[in-house]
Amino acid sequence: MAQTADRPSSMSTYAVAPASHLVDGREVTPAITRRELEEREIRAVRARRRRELITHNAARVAVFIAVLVGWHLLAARYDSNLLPGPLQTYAGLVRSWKLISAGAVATLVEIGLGFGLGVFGGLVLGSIIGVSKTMQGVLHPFLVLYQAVPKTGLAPMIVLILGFGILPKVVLAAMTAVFPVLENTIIGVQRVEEDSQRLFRVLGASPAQTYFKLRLINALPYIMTGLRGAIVLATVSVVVTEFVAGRIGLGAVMMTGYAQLDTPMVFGALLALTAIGLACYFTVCLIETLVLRWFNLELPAS
Amino acid sequence: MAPEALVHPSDADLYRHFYDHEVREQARRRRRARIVNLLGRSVIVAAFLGLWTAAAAVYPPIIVPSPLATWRALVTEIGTLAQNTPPTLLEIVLGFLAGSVLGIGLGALVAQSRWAEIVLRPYLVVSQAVPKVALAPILVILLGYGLTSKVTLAALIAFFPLLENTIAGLRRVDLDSLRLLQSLGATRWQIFTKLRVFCALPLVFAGLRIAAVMATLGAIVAEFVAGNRGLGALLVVSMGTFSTPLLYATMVVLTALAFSVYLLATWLERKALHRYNLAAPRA
Amino acid sequence: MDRSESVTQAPPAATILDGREPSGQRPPVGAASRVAIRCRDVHKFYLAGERSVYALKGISVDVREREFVSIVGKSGCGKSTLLHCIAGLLPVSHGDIAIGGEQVSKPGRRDIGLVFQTSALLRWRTALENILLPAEIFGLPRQQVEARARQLLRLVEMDGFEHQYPNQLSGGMQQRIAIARALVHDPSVLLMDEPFGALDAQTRETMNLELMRIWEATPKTVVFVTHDLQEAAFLSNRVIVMSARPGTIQEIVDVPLPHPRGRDMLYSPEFVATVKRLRELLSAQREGSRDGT
Repeated sequence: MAQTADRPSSMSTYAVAPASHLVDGREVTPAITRRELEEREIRAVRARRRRELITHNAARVAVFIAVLVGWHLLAARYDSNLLPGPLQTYAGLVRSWKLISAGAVATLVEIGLGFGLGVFGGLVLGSIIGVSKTMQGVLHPFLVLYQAVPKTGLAPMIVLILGFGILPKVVLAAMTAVFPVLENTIIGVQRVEEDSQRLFRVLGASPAQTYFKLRLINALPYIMTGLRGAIVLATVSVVVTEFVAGRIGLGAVMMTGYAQLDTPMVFGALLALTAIGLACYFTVCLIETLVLRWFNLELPAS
Repeated sequence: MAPEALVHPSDADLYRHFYDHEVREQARRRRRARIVNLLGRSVIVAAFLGLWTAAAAVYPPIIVPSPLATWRALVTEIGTLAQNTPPTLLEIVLGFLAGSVLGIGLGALVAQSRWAEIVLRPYLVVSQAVPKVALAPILVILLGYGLTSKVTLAALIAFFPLLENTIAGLRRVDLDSLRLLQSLGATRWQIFTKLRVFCALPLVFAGLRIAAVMATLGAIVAEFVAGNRGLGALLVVSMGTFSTPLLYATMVVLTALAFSVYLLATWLERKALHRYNLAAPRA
Repeated sequence: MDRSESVTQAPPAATILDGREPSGQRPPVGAASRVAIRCRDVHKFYLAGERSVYALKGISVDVREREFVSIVGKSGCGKSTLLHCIAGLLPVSHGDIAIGGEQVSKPGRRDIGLVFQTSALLRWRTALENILLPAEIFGLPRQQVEARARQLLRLVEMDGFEHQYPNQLSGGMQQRIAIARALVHDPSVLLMDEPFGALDAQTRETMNLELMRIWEATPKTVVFVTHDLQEAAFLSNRVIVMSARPGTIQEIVDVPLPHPRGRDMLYSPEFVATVKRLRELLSAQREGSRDGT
């Protein structure tokens, strides 16, 4: 540390403990070391981050409360069977809890099965199509058609064929969830670095080896993004099919309340549905994080 | 591939020899690809129709009508179908417009403030995860059986992808161009109109394409729930009355409608991007 | 005592791979007279969209065993194309290429190692796992190869980094791993396509010296593509100068410097003369007319 004031202080930094050096022929020790500067910076950054964390989350909570209060005030002007407020919604939830919880379980099962089936199908089909340029050429217009038409519109038809139980919901959910996984698998399997492909060819790798050791793993970030799209679509599809088919699931519960004009029940079921939707989505995000971390991959550039 | 030995040919001869060969190869490959494509697609369409006919033979006609029966229903019920198409189309268009304007407008506003964007980000993520179509019954209760509830649902579903894409697009600015404008002393508004808007265009138009599909979905689902007017309502009604040929015929019309909407949106996207010489955003 | 044999079997304890200078005689590198790579009247013509490219015209060249040959030329002169043809990645339009007497018809020969400009390391594998990749593909048992892989890691001076992922390594380090990977199956021929082109000048110089050191330790036949004339002259026994459109061999220049090469040679009159000659050849290209149509 610099001792006296008559020595010119210098802000030069050193990798190790400060050593004195010559300035204009006089010995000088620097006033501050690199390590101290580093620590100062780190402390400043940490403090700022803590501050931001508090302010941002406070703001978010404030927004939430504002919305809640606004909802309550708005609902107070209307009959609870037209627009129930937060309190009436909670009451409705509690009142119809048996119905809603049973519906929630059914919906969850349908989403899970439909999602799983759709992801599996998307992976297999995407792999087959992705490695074959011929198939891509042939199937291209059909894939565009599949993407363009909301498959949810098929709900009445599927319900007619498969009945009112769990099956039509699972099938339609799978049909909807397939596409994002399929599309992203195709993209990921193809978007491999030219040189990596050459490497595998020069080594004389078999198509299977190239697929499993290179293309599939390279496609993982894309597939994970596809999974997120798939879970969202599966959820939407299940809800709509339940609207159409009734009988099982939260969508059916909502339609029951809708028919009976028990709007608090409808809102309560919606709340449960929101929770389920969020839970499913974040589970998939968790899977994504774990898989990418295991393979030391990052998300594809947006 | 290696023909007769080339003995002291001139350069022009060599060039022509290889060129002809390669051009012929390429033409042959292209022809083969075209044939394979045509053949493959015909096979798929034929297989589809074949499976359908087979299913129609297996299941009673009240569950699965044959393609022929569907066609006949299409022809005989053309009146009903024609009556129910305009409402659906109107809902889609209005919902799309409302959702787009709100989505882009709000997106532009939020993008101005980094703070607002950061605060609202978790809500955007949450809104993605929540099935907004579940609002259909509530909207019909609140807004009635008319056009409003359906347009609102369509707009709501179309709104979010556009909001997100607009915000992301406006943030995605080429840093060097930004620094250039700043060094010229451009105002925030000038930077917005001369730079940010154009950087955002690819994502915004991609968002518009998604919004078109979403608006279609929203209109259909709202009609499922309300069940009084429109192609979606027709689907549910014909399902309930087991008028299955009509159901299938409506499906055909609906598919055609949805596909047309999508094609229009895609065409618009391509034209707009082409006009400004921009590239489509990576998938 | 002929040390060159020890390289091809499972190496015993103290060998050349340990990086230590072997005592005793060793045949000077590049002096073997058998032909490792033979190109006879190679032509390569292809269509790229609307354009036609006469990439290689009448290329005939012999590369001797354990010779270090560079290919230089301006962009688009076909040097990378030639390398890819030798590797079997591209089929030739006419002529033939033979490595070690065997015709090259398709990729997958086990006597070739290839190093790319982009290192092409798989980002989800650690350094060691990347080096082991060729052995995995060939189906060799892991234990047998792992020892060799670790020795190669030591040779390229990256031991300690076995469990690092490529994104944790600098460009130069990644290329070292790529070189180790190319050597793991002990190929007789090493093909390198501008391997140091993406590195900064300082690192490139270091890597040149490192490559010389590695090559002294495990002499292979090397074909090295680069656009850097100094690099070519520093590394090689001979330099092939190619001219573009169509790609032909303009001249093959001998580099009259002994191996092992050291930094001090950069200032020797022979080196300067060689680089000067290479520059003259390239300048002559610019003024000369284009061949072909």
